Amino acid sequence: MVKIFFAPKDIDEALQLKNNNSHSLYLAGGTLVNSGGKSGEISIISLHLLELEGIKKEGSHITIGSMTTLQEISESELLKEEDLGEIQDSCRAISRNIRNASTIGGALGSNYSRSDIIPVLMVSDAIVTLKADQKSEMTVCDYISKRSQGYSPLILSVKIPIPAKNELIISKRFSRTSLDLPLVKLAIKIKLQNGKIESVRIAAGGVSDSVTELKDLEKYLENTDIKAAKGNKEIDRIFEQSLTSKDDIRATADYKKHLIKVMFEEIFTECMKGKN
Amino acid sequence: MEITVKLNGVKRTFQTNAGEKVVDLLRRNGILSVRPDCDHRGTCGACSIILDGRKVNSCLLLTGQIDNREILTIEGLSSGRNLHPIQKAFLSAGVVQCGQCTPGMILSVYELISKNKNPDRLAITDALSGNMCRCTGYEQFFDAIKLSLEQKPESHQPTFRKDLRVIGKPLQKVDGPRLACGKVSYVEDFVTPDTLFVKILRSPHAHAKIKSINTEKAEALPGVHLVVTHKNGPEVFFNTAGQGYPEPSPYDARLVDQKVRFVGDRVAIVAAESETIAEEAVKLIQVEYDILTPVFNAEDAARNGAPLVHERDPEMDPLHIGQVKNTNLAAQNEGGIGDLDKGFKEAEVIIEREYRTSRVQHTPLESHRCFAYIENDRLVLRASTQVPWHLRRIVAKVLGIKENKIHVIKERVGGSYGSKQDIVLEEIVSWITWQTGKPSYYRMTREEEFVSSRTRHPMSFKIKAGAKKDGKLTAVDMKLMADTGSYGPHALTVPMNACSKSLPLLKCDNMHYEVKSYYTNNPISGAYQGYGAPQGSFAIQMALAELAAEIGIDHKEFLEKNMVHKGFRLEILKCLGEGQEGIAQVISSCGLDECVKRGAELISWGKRVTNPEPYLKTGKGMAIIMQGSGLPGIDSANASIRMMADGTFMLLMGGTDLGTGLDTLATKIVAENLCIDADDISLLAADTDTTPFDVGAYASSGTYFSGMAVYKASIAMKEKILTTASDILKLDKSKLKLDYHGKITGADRELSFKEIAHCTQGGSGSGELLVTASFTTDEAPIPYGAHFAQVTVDTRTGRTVIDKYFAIQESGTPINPELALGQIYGGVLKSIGHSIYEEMIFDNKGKCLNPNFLDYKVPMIRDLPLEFKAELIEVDDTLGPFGAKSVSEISCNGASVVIASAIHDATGIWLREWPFKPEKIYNLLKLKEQVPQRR
Repeated sequence: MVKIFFAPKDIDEALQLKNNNSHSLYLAGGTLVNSGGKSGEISIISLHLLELEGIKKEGSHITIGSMTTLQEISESELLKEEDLGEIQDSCRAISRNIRNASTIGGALGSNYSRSDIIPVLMVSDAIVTLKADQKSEMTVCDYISKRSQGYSPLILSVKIPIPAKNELIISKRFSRTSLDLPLVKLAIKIKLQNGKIESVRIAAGGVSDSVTELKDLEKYLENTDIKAAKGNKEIDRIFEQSLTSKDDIRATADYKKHLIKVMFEEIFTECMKGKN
Repeated sequence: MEITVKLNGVKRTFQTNAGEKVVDLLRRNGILSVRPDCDHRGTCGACSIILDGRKVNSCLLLTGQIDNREILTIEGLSSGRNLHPIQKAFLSAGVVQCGQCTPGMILSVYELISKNKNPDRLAITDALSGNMCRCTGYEQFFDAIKLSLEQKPESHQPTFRKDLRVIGKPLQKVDGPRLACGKVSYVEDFVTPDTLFVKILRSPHAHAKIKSINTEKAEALPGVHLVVTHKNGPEVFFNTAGQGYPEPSPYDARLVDQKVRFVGDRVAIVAAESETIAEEAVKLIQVEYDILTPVFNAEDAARNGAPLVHERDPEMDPLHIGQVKNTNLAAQNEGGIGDLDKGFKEAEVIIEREYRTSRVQHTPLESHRCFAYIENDRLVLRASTQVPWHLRRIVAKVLGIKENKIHVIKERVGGSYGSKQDIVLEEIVSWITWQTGKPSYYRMTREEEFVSSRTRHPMSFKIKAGAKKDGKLTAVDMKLMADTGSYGPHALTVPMNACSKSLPLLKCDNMHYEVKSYYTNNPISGAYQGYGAPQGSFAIQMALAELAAEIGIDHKEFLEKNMVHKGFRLEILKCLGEGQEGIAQVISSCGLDECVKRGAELISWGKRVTNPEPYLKTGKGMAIIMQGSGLPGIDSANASIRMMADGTFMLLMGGTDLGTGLDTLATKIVAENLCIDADDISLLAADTDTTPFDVGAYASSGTYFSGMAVYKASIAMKEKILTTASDILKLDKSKLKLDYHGKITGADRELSFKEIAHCTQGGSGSGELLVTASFTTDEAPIPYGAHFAQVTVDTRTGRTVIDKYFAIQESGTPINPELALGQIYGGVLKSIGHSIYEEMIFDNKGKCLNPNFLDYKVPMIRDLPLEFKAELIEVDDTLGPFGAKSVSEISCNGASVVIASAIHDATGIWLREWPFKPEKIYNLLKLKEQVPQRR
C-alpha cells in the first residue's frame, strides 16, 4: 500500500528521499511496481520529472536515459542505424499499452528472470550508470547479479556499445501467448572472424530466478569454429550444468532447458547464414 | 494531495491520495469509460487513456504520475451526439458487441492513426496488442480501421436476402453509440455514493466444516453494517442455474453454508461503507475449520467410499435427474436409438478411444457485478444477467418474499458467454439490501471471477465407434463423465448437451450415450458458450477422425458419407431432453454440404503443404458442427408493441441482449414487418417490471425465441393497423397494404401511421394500438457449419501455429450479418484459446494457481490465425423469424477438433486431451519416435 508519493525535481532530491525513507521504491513507468496490490506500507519516489529520457550517440556507445520508454526505443532510428535492432525487437514483443509506459530503467530494476530486455542488454555488454551515494558504472551483468542481492541504486542511463561489423546480436523468445512474458528467452552476441568465434556472450532468461549469463559455454565456444557448435554433445553437457531450472505452472524444467537448447541451435544456424 | 490535469481539454484539479490509481480517480470523477477489469494488473486495456499523446493503462499509474499532464479519454473524443469517425467506423464494422473493451480499442486506433495514416496489418495488430476483447475475435477491427481512414460510414460486410429491406443488411447496433462513447451503461455505472460495498471471506480449504466462526471484531469495526455467516443467513437451499422452472439442477446451494466445498467457497459476507472497510472486516473474522478429505476429479468422486461433497437429500430437488443419495453422483442419464450390439456386429472396423477436456473460464471483461437498492418498498436489482426472470424467481426464494416485490433491470452486459446464466452474487446483495434497507454493490475481483463464478465442465469420454470399410458408420457409443465441481448447476444439462449437439450430426442407426455427472471439491462448473457441445464435439469427432484414419478413408469423405441432411429425422433427440423427454425432430434446413464444400475449397483440402525446414510440419484438419436454437417445449418468449402518438413505435421485449445484437435484431424485425425505419422504433428490453416475460438468453434461444415473439407481435401490429385503417378509410382490409415509409395504401388513398395514431388515440378513437405476442414451439431450427484449419508444428518444440482458419457457417437468414460474423470470430477464438492456450491450473490442495489473465493465457490480437475468415452461407428455413437460426454458440464447437486433426495430419500424433500445449505435443512427438502411437 502506497503511503507517500514523492515526485522529486532533480536527482539529488530523489537520492535524499531514498535515504530518508526506509521502505521506499523508485518508480519509473510503473508497469511493474504499480501492478496489482503491494503488501506493506511503502513510499514511492517517482522519477518522471527527472529528465532522464532520450537516446543519443556518445562515441562508440548509444546512451539511453533510464526513463526512456520501450516504445521510444522501438521507434528510434538511431538504434536501427547502429545495428541495435535486436533491442528494439525485444521491446516490440511487449504489448503497446505496456511499452508506452514501461522504461528501460524500470525493466532493468525489475530484475525479472522472464524479461524480454535484460538478456539482450546483458549480451550487448551494456553498461548501466547508477547513482547511490556517488555515481558509478557497472555492466548490466554485474548490476543484475547485485540487484538480486537487494542492491537498488538509482539508474540514470544504459550505455550500449555499438556492435562492430562482424558482431551479431540475436535473441529468441518462446511464449505461449502474446500477452505472456517469455517462458524462456535466449540472447547471444557473437563476433566472428573467418568462421571462427572470436568472442561470444550468451544470456538465458526464464530458466533460473534471474537472467543467467552462460559463462562456461561462452568460454567453451570462444576460438572454436562456428560449425562445430551445431550438434555438439559437449555443448549439451554444458547447458545441463549451467542451467538450473524448476518445474512451474508454465512448463517443466526439462522442457525449458530443451527450449533454450533449440534456440541456441537456431541462433547459431542463423549466424552461419549471416543473419544480422 | 492535490493534482492538476488537463482532462479532455479542460484543466481540472483533483484531491487524491498517494496510492490511488488513475483509473479509480477518473471513475470517481465521472469518467466511466475506464474500467479496472483486470484488477489493476495492466493485462486487459479496458482502462486505456491517452496520456500526453500515448495510450497507456490507467490502472498502472498512480495519480501523482499524471500531475500537470494531459489526458484524453473516450469522453473527450465525441462531441455531444456527434461521434468521432473512429466511433462511427467501429459501429459500421460491427466490432461493438458487449462494448466493455470498445473505449480502449477506439483510443488504440486513435493513437495509431494520429501517427500512421496508412497502417498495415502488422501495425494495426501492434496498436491493439494491449487490448483484450473476448467477444469479437478481433478480425473485424482491421475493417474498422480501414473504414476510419476512409472516413466512409458504409461497411464492407456482406448482405443477405435481397427481397428484404432491413433484414440481412448491416445496421448500426441500436445500443452501439452509447457503448462507443463510454456512456453510462453497465451495472457499476449506476452505483450511488450511499452504497454498502460487499467483500467475502472465502475458504482456504477445498473441503471443510466450519467448527466455529467469530465475527464480533468485524461487526465492531466502524462502517460495517452487516456480516452474514451460516448462522444468520437464510436456511434456504436453492439452485443457482438460471433455467426454466422446475429446473433440472439440484437444490444444493445456500447463501452461506456451514460446509465449504472448494477453495474460494463463501465463509462470510461483509457489507460496509467502503471496500477498504469491508476488506479490513474480512480480515478480522476468526474461523476454525474441521478439515475434510477432498476429492478432485470425477473418477475419484465416483469410487465407493469417496469423500461426500454433499450430504443432502435429493428429494428436495424439483426434478429427479438421477442423483443418488449418499454418493457424489449429481446427475445421470442414458439413452439411445437402434441396437448398439447389432451395429458393432455389422462394423468391419471398431475403435475405442478416451478423450478429456479441461476446466476453462469465460473471462468476461466485466466480472460479475450487481447493485441492489430499495425503491417504493421493493427490491430493485441492476444486474448484468442473462436471465432477469429466473434471477427474480431465485432471489425471491432465497429472501422468502414474493416475486412482485422484486424488480430486475438488466443493464448492458460486459461479456457473459454463459457465465451470467447463473445467480452468482445477486442473492448476496439482495439479502444485504433487504436486511439493511441500504443500497449494496458487489463486484467480483478477477481472481474471484476465475475461481468463484463458473467454469466449463471438465469431461472425460469413452467413445466406441464402428464402421464398414466403405466408411458407413454402424454404431457409436458415447460414455461421458463430467466434473460438476462443488455444486451442481447444469450438472445434467451441460453433459447432456455434449451428446445432443454431437450425435445428431450423424446418420447412424445405432447410437447410445451414458452421462454421469459428479460432485468434486473443484470450482463450480456451469454454462459456457456451447454448453457442453465443444467437449462432446471434440470427443465424437476426434473419434471419427481416428476411425477414418483406421479405415484409411479421407476425413472429409468419411464425414460427408455420414453427416445428416435436410429432412432427416433426428430420432435421437427424443431421449436427449433437458431433465424431461425430448422431442424428435425433422431437420428443417441444413447447409452442411455447402459449408463443407466452401471450407474445403478455401483450405485446398487434400493438397499437401511442404516446408523448407524439415522440422516444420504442416497439416490440415476439419470438423462439422451443429447447435440448437433454444429449447423447444421448454422455452418461451413474449413481446409487445405500442404505437405512439406520431406513428412511431415502442417495442417491449423480454429478450436479453448480451451484447450480441438481440435488441438490434428485434428492432429490424419490427422495421421490416411494419415498413418503417429502425429509427422509428424505441426498445425497452429485459426489465421484469415493464417488459413481458422471457426465459432469457441461453441455449442459443435469442434469435429464434425472442425474435419470433417480436416477429409475431409485429405481424399482430400490422394486422391491427390494417384493420384500423380499413375502419377509417371504409375500405375492405384485403385491399389495403403497408408501404414504406409507415403508411397504408389502398386504391388511390394513403393513410400515414401518424394519422392512424391520431384517430385511435383521440377522444372518439378505438384506443391506443397495442399488441402482445408470445412464442412457444415444439420444433427449432438447427444451425450447421464446417470449420477448417491449416497448422504448422515445430517438431523441435511442439509449438503450433495456425496458418489458416476458415469458419463456414449457416444460420438461415443472418439478420445482423456483421454482428453474426463477429460472433463467429469471437466463438472460434475463444475455442482456439481453450484448445491451445487456456487452462485453470490447481495445486494438490485445490487452489487455483493462475487466476489472472497473464498466467491463464487468453488469446489477444497477436495470437490470431495468420489467415482468419468467417463466412455465412445463406440457407432457406421456415421456422425462425425471416428464416433465421442461432449463430453464436455453434462457433465454439469446431476449433479443438480442427486443430487436433490438423496436428495429426502434420505429425501423425493424436491429441486426446485439452489444451494442446507445446510441451504436450513435444512429448508426444518424442514418444512417437520411441513407440509408434496407436493410429
